[in-house]
Amino acid sequence: MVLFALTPGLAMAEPTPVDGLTSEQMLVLGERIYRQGILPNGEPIKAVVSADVPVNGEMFSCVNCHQRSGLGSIEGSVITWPVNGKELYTPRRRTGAWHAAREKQGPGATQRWSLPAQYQAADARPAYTDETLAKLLREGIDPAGRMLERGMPRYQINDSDMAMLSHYLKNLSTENDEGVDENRIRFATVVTEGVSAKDRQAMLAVLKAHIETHNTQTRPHQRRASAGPFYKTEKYGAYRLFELDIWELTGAPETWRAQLDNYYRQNPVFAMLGGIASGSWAPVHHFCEDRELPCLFPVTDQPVVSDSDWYTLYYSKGFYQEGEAAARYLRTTPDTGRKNKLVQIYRAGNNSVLLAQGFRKTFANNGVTSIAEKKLAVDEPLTEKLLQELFEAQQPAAVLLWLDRADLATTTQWLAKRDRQSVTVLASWSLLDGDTSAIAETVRDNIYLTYPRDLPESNAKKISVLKRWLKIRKIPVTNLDIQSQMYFLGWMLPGAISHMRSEFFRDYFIESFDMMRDQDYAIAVFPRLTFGPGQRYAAKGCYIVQLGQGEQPALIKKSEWIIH
Amino acid sequence: MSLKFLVSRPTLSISLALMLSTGSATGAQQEHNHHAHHQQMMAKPGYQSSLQSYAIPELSLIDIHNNKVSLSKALGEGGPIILNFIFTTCTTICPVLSATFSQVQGKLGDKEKNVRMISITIDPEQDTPERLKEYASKFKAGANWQFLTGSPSDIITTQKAFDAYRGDKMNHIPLTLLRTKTDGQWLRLEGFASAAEIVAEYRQHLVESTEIGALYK
Repeated sequence: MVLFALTPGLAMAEPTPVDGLTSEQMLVLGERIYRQGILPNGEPIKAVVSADVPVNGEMFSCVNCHQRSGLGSIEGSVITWPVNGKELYTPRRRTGAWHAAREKQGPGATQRWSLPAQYQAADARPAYTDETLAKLLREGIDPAGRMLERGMPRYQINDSDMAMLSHYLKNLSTENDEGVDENRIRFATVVTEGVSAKDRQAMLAVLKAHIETHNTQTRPHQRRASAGPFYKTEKYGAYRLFELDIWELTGAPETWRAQLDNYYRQNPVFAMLGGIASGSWAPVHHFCEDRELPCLFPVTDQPVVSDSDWYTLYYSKGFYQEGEAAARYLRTTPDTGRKNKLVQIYRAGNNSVLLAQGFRKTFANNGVTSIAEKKLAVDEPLTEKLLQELFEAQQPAAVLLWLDRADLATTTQWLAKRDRQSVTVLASWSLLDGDTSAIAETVRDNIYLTYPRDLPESNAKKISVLKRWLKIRKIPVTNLDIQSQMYFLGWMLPGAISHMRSEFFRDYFIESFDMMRDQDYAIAVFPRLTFGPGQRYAAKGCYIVQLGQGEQPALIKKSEWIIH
Repeated sequence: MSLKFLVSRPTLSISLALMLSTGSATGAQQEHNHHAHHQQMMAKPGYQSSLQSYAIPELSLIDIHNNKVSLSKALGEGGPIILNFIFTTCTTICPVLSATFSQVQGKLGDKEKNVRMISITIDPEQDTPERLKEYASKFKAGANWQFLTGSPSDIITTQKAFDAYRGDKMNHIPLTLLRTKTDGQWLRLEGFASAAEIVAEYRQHLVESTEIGALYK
């Protein structure tokens, strides 16, 4: 984060003056070079990568590898070093080889034994100057005279553009973000009006239990930070007590933003954890986006679906993702997808709109099949007559029925009276809230369900581990789905904090998830969670299932988790 | 805490990361000891090359038009191929590899029109055919450059077949693989080879493999 609106008391690095621009104007232009690879004249910066490949800055901007925080990344064997000013403009010490004298260490720094000066390893490189930084960007040679790897582009950048970029870097990730001090990190979680007491408790009890456990570890972490192996010192030194505020939102969603701003002003937090809302998560999402405030894994089936938003990390795209999965499934099923008509029925002002959107958007690429749509009004029931009319008019190979239990019951009655050979119905497990009692045995061959969780046949062991964890902490099983989501979040959080060492920047915090390995540990309700740069929906799949026979039917898997 | 983070700011943990990556390379090397007699490892500026034999697994991947494609068929059933592994949200290694491939397209001569280029994603959960299609267009991929995704297990099998699997996509390496038509051997380039170097390596490999092939005729 860069301090555009200067906080009183925080000094901004003085820029080299360029054409009478103010410092703020230079920051804006510098950020555009850094993040978008666009020069002040509006043209993409030109570069050469891999010795002879000309590229432009839009695809090879600094932020790609050095990240928004400027603190760099590691991808396989390629190491990208930090470029924020405080790292660039000081010599790079070798790991563990050098420690400042006791009196020069900042408050809270760990005091360690250090080799006498004559035995300490030389610096890896001297501090950059504006001139040596320009040489590096243009020629790939660092101040120690070393040639950088070919993956680092060599940019064509003039002196005045260079001054803007270096001014931006000097102000990038300078002071820790709000919500952190020497001992504590403050988080908040949102609970809105309309959420049931049971669900609220399910979320909060698990979050609080995790935080309580974490907060008992102060002494071991202090000991490890001061006496542990040198290469772990920084990670142990990042330990802070966690504090969790509960931000209760009341009234209409349009008023949530003002309430959120007010909570934040009163007591700023470093990040948001979990959270649960009745209805769409969008107001909280946009608040976090505007404040550049990370929000980890809110409990919602109605996230904002975006390829570019940055600060909220979701488990999945919720209802939208089920619609996507249905489209992918039909597309890969020759007799229903590629050449035939489909009918999509959904209801206004309802989650079913999101299912319909996900289906429509994903199926649009197919180009062969036409989709007829019927949007019911909020209180308009589905009737057998309407189904019959739609069926006769369209002769569809499949019907997407994004409606609730009562509508599904109507559909099964209608189906039972027909020659069922030619009809496939897809419905959403989540929209039915798992209540499949409306699906009579006689029509189970015709009805398929989107199932956005791990299947009972494969997650029994993980569920039992979770239940044991809850039991030990005397937390009753009230909503296992919500509890499992917070269980995973609680496991990830301390790792993400220690990863930051003591560089408490929100962008860096989010980047730790971008760089994360794919996870299948501590996840009870999803088969896998996968991460990657800019990826904001961790569970990428959804099963398609049918019901088996009997009163308590088994789920029969009809697709893999990932459908292409 | 058994959860693993990749380190995104290289300071203290770099030595560990390097140790780990050296460890995995050693393990991979051992798997291929049976090929040791025909490995010729050569250091070049920016990359290393070696000659390898790989067994192509029988499986199907999916192209950007949602069609199933058998891997061996996609690899031209013995024909000339330039291959790499990428993923679309990768920000460090893959844009360089893809920009290089884009450049290679223009550098191949008229006689090399039968050379096919293939990029296989190592992030099949994120990289749908639609995303790969967008990515292909971003890098101006021509008709001879194909992008493939598939089921996560098939993608892992494919990476393992080419000794390109490093446990997680965030651990991957810059790698280009070349095969000429004549002897089925693969030239493995590890690192960032330039477009001109890839084309030169291909031509050199073609000459050498033809000469070797002629000796056995």
